[in-house]
Amino acid sequence: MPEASSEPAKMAKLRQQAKIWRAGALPGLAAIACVTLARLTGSLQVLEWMAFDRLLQLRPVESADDRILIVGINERDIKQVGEHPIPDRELAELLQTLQSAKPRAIGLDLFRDTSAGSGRAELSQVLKHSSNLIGIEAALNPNNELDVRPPPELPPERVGLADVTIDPDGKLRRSLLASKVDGKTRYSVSLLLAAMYLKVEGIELQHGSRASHPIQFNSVLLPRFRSDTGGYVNAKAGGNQILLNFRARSQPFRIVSLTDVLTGKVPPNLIRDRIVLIGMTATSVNDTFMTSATKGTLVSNVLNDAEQYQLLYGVEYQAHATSQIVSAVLDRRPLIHTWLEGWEYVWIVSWGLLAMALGLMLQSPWKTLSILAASSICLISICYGSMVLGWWIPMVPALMALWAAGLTTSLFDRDSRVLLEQRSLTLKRTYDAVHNGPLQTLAAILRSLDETHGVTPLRWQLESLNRELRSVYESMKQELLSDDNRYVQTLLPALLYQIYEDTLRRDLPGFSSIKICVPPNFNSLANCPLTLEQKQGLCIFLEEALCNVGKHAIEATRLDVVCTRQQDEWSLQIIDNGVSDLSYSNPHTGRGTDRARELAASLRGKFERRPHSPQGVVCELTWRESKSWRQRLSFYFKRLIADGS
Amino acid sequence: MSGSTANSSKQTFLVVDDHEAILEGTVPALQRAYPEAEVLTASDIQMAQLQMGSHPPALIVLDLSLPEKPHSPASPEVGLQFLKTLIEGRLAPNILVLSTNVQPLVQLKPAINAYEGGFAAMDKSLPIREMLRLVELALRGSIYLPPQLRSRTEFDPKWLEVLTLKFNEGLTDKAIAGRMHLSDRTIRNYWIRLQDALDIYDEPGKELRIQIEIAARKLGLIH
Repeated sequence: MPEASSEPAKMAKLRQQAKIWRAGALPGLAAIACVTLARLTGSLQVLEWMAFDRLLQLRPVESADDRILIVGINERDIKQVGEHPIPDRELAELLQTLQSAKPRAIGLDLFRDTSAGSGRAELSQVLKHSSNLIGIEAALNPNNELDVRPPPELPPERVGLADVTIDPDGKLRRSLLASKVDGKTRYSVSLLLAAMYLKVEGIELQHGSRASHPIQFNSVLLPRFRSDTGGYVNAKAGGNQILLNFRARSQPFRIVSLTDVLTGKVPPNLIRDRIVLIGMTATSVNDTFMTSATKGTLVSNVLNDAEQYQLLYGVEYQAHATSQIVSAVLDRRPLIHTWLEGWEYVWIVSWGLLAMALGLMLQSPWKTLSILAASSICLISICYGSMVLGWWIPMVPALMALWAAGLTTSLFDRDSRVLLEQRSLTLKRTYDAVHNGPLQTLAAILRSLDETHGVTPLRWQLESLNRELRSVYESMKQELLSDDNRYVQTLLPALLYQIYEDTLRRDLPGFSSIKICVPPNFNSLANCPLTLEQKQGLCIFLEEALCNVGKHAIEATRLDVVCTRQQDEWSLQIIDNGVSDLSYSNPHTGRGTDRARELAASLRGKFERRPHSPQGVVCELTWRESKSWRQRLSFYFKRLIADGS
Repeated sequence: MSGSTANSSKQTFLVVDDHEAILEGTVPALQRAYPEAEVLTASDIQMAQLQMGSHPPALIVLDLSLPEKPHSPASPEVGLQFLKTLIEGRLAPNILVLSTNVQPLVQLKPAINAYEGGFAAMDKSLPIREMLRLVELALRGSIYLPPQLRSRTEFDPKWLEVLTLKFNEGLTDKAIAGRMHLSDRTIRNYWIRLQDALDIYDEPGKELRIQIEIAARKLGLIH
């Protein structure tokens, strides 16, 4: 129709579409905003930690790390020695036995700032002369009284920090690398042991002057834990910390007991060139942490229960922390990386937007639910795969955004669609009622009046009533077919016939001389897969082509409109036999031509305006049934929407 | 006058309308104008189909807004669908559509132009005299569409094909029917439609087909 193509009508249409989008998009955007806000305030931290632990635990099994040997002092050892803590003499003996097998590094994960039992002199000797031995101290407690000093025999460079940061949910997920103590940068046991091990391989620890500076071995940078790393919000990220990438195996390290070593049951080749960690593995000694990210710990293996959470001995933790650094440098085993905060939110919001688009596109709630479920599986798979590769990507907030936005959008969208449906149903009913009731009665009265002549004033009044009723009826019909409805609900052939009739009835100079109209048959177009825009485009094309004849053809006597389909090729021709004026035959003029070209491009077809023999102009649009999956998909979606409404 | 039905037995007219008032006006008028015809009525599609089965009508006067079954709501879609099956069917009765809204017929125009039987459509509120005039047109095999459906004279491609086959190739009507895979009656009615479109009247002493040929050549319909 002429109105459809005029500028104000287009603007109105755009505005209405914007309104629909606003109505459809606002609830979804609000839902996404809620999820984002919840994450920003840290409400999702615990859930994200749970998911993080779970994903770490579910990774495929890794090989054991045989670079590390744990000497665990267990209950049986304590019983054997008959004393706790293990006396200095036994400890000195243990160290001497180990040193005789030439380990590369020894980590003494026991506090020995004061002597225990007898034999401190022997222990002092061993400690002083073992250049490959690292002792521990606890120096980072907020209250100095809780700190534990290192064995006095050890020089500061052979003392590592054993401090640990536990998350608010009581679980251990990160390890300390370096911290500033009394103005000096101090390193953790695990980092010192790893550095000692790697030094023999010719790889030096590189670190700036401040604790927070990046720590690097060769090209391997240890990703520093920030206060907003991954799912963390405002975490205490003091010093230089790193996320623990637990080795995914139920028995990731070889563990021997004190007695095993002292009785010579441990073959020296298990000790040679290894990192040996000495620590308590006795339940009576309180040196355990909680975790649920490992496949197994010493305790969970004994209990045969890896569910819920596991208790991790301090020495096991040190082994994991040391192992992840050495393996990252030597084996390129991934450390855990995270995205910058901003990208995490882009990711979360993107999933929300995807869900909104799906919710708006799919009408049926079942379809929406199943597509959301499929998207969730997809999202979880991506997160799992990334975790295997060492990337912690936000999963819980993305899932929440997906479902919240998807469900609210489809809910609100359905709501407004139901309203629209009801409105057009009411209109239709009223329309039919007017049609079947008053108009029919009036028709009958008018006809019977005809039989009895001579009541002219009454007849005249009735006729005007008839006209008035009809105008109401017509306006209702207009309302029913307004805007997109017109293109969605009316079949393309009917639209085109209407345009053909309406346009030819317009008072254009070129039409007056036309004696022969060969009418078109548009019915083959009913099966042509077209999008709404293309449908609309074809209508406008026909209208403009006919108007061109009316405006520019001079003395045309015949007008043919031919619509044919041969196999999968459609063609629409408007042929006149008039003399055309110059501006019209120039193909580079007018918005109509541009629009026709755009339409042809969208249909992947061809638009042509050429002279007709013996005279006149052929305006032709040809296109093939598109095989492009995108077009088909979009056609399919539009059909779904049309069927739904 | 009744060129459409060959049999000499009583003609049957079928009036399909669910409005008592309309039937009361239409039926007696038809009966008066065609005393030899039997006028049947139906107020829904089911009944109309039943009537058509037992008495193939020469003419159907049809409202577009009709109920599918007795007591079901009337809607223009139902009538339009019924009209489509009539036009595509084999029976091909002459049809007069009588409706308060003839606009939906626009999409049937190619089918109406090619339709074997006569076809006319009119607004219901027009006087009965007008209806009788259109009944006659339909029975003759002509096509009449109100101005809002047909703004100017049209020549359907099929009618033009008849012209070409006749005057350029010299075929008989029978041969034309064979070539176009249409019935003899259809070709006969196409001639009547051409005659209407070219505005030619049957005048004594003039050969109708020659008149058509002259007019068609003058207009450039055939070369």
